[in-house]
Amino acid sequence: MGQIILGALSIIIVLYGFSWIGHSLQPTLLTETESLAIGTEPIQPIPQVIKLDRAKVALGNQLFHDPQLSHTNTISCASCHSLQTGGVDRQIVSTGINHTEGQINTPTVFNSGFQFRQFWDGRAATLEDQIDGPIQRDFEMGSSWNEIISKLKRSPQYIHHFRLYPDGITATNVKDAIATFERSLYTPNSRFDQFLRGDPDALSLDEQKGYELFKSQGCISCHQGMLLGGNMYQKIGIVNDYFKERGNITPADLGRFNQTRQEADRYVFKVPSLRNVALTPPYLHDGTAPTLDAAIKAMIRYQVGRQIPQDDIDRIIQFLNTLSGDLPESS
Amino acid sequence: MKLSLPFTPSVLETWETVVKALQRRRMDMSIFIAAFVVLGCLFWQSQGVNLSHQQQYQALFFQSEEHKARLDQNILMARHELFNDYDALVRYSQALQQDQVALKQPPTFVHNPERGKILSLLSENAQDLNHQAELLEQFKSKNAVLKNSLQYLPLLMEQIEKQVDSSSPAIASLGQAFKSVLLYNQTSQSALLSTITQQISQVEQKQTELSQESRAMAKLAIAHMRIIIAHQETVNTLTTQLLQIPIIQHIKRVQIVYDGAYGRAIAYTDFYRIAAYLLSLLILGGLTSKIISRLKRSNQELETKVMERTGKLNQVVQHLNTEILERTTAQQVLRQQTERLQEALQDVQYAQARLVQTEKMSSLGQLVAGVAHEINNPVNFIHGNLTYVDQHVHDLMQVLQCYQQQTPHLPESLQSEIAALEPDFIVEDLEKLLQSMRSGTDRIRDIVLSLRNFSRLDEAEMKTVDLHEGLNSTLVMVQHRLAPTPTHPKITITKHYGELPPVHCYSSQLNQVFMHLLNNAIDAIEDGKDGATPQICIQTEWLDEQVAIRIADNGSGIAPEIQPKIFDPFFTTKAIGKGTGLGLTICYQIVVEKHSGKLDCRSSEQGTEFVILLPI
Repeated sequence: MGQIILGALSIIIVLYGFSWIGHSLQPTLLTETESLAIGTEPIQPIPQVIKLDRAKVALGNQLFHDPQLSHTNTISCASCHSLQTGGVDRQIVSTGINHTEGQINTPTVFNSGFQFRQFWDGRAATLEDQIDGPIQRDFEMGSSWNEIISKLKRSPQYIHHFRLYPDGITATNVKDAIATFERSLYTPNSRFDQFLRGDPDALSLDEQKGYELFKSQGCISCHQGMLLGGNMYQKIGIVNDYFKERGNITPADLGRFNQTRQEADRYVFKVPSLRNVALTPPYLHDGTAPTLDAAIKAMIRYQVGRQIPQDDIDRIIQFLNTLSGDLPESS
Repeated sequence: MKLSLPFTPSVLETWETVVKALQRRRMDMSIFIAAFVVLGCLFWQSQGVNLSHQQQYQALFFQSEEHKARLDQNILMARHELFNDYDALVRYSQALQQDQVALKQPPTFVHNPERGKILSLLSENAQDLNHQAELLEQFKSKNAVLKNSLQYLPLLMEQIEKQVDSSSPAIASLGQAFKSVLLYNQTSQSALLSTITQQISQVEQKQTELSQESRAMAKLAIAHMRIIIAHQETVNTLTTQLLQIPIIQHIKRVQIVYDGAYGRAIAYTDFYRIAAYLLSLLILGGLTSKIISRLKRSNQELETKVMERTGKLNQVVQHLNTEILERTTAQQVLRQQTERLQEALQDVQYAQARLVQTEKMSSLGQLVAGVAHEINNPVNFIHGNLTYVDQHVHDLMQVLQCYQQQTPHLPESLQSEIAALEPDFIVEDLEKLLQSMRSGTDRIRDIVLSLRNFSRLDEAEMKTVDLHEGLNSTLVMVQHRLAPTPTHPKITITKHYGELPPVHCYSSQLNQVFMHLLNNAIDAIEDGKDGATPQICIQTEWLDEQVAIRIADNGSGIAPEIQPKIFDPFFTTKAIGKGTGLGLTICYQIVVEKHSGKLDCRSSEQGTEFVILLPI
């Protein structure tokens, strides 16, 4: 009797095994990676919904606003990338721990997930890699991962929250949480996006004219793509020598040269995104353009090398003001 | 396994056999377990090729080729179209990097040397990807600048020509330079470069005559021209270089190596899978054969048991059969015995009856003989004396007559006394009286004779007699019953006697028969209907070898359902006490058994006839 049961069991197992083979023969579907472009405009609207892990976003939010990440527990990510002030601190340069000044204008954290690289010189490929920079720089947060982790581990609340990671509080997981949170800071549905999606009344005629000028006057050469920038490098001072005229060159002004040591990369920076540009003065990598008007005029002189009348500049400014989208919930 | 008595050596034997049986079982089980383990191993080996990993990895080749193609397409679009969006370039470039990372992790079934080959090819590809990334950044930057200048320069030149007098040599040179630049843009002839440079330097020389504003514009134009001639070739070179980066070739080479590895792995797993199939078939076969042998064994056991039981049942049945047989035989014997007993009883009863009857008859006979004898004597001398009386009376009459003749005249008193005595009447009456006395004594003598005849006891042996005598004697015996009664008038006896020879027989017994038959006839008549004249007819006939005596009556007849029974002993239709039921039985016995004759009865509602047939 036992033998018969054994026999039946074995037959069942064998059959199941063979059926499992058949199962695994099913093809895995290739996922569609091509996103549909709307029309043929060189600018695409920001996606309206992005799926992210809510628990991680909440944890990242907490960490983003936690000054414990700095050595003196005074500076958090939000100190310089404040969500209330456009993801920046609206300073020429930011101030780190011990009141030390930064070296370069703070870029906005909004839509930073869409940037092709992080930092003005593009030295960080991902948001996660970017976090290593300010955390460890002595003129920014001046801490270390060991320090931060030990501080976080003292908090039972963090221990509880970090349970969504199997290995708990580690540098990788802290970066993952913060980066996930940063990715949640996207600003869709600006009036310009609505215009792009097919609503002709989203922009006034002047604003539409401003967009046309933006394109025809060459701004679009570099400030293109979904972020109106953020996807290429460019030298500042093409038509005229920017640094010669500004003077006082700092190491930060060398741009990508600091990373590649290639002469061609001297004074080459990542083209910044113009999304929510109205919220993030001062402009340019050194923060020397306090207004959009100043920034545009600098661009005209040094980059596109054109002669653009003030009326047109004003219209371009009006257009640029339409690039402010819905601020993230956490702001 | 034989069951053995609990002696020590037999216990050991038993133990040995049990252990062997267990071992056999264990061996079976262990074989099966081993087979399953092997099957498991084969199965596990045959799963070496994870098909989903394979497909995902396979898809990477197509994917990266597609990404590279699209990247190239976008590069060309960026180069030649008016407005462009570099997001696509970034996206495909990053996608290729991701593909590279994924390609570096081929499925586990890819072993060295293919794995090593793939990784080395991929590291070459990585170098090219890095190179591509650098070139791409340069391309984007330079292309943007070039496009801007290309787009703006014509507009600027238009503005300049509108604003400034075209006769101005500087402007003319500028215009020429512009045309050259346009030509250069179209043709990319490097020879034009020196022309343009020359023309530009000409403009710079002549620009002093221009107004400040115009000078600024010219300067701007020159700047853009310089940008164009500086960037054009670079951008073209970059484009060509980018398009020539052999990403796809690398991918294809990797694919070839991978296909080889996959083919090998598939062959490997196919082999194991087939082995697994075969083994599982064997296992199935083994199991099946085990099951079949089990079933066979059970079947045999069952059959043996059945045979045993059937044997036992047969035995039982046989037992029962023998019993039944014995019982049946016993029953039969019993029945036979019963029959015999019954017969015997019947015989005994009959014999008893006969004995009684015989006794009765014999005692009756004796009585009758005695009476007859006793009567005979007085009757004889009465009969004898009658003759004398008759004679005397006659003589006296003669005397009287003599006296009458002598004395005609008598005294009147005497005459009247004589007349009163009626002597004529006396004479007449005396004659009659004597006659009647004579006939009376004759009758008595007849009866006595009949009685004697009837009860011829001494004649227990056969005698040759005249049957008619016997009949008549018997008739005399029943004479008294022939008298009329309230129920019937006088019974008439009709005799039709034929000529009979003397018959050798037991005459007394035959007389009994006649007696019974006559009595029965009379009884029938007594029971019978009114109206018809009751009659008994006796007929005798001599048939060749036989003598027939027929006694018929016209009485009530014998009912048909009773007819077969009339000769049965103790069968009677008379009321209890009136008849023995033996009469006809005895007749039958006498006629048939004693005389080898036949006694037949024919009866209807009109009457009954008994026929006695006696052989002679």
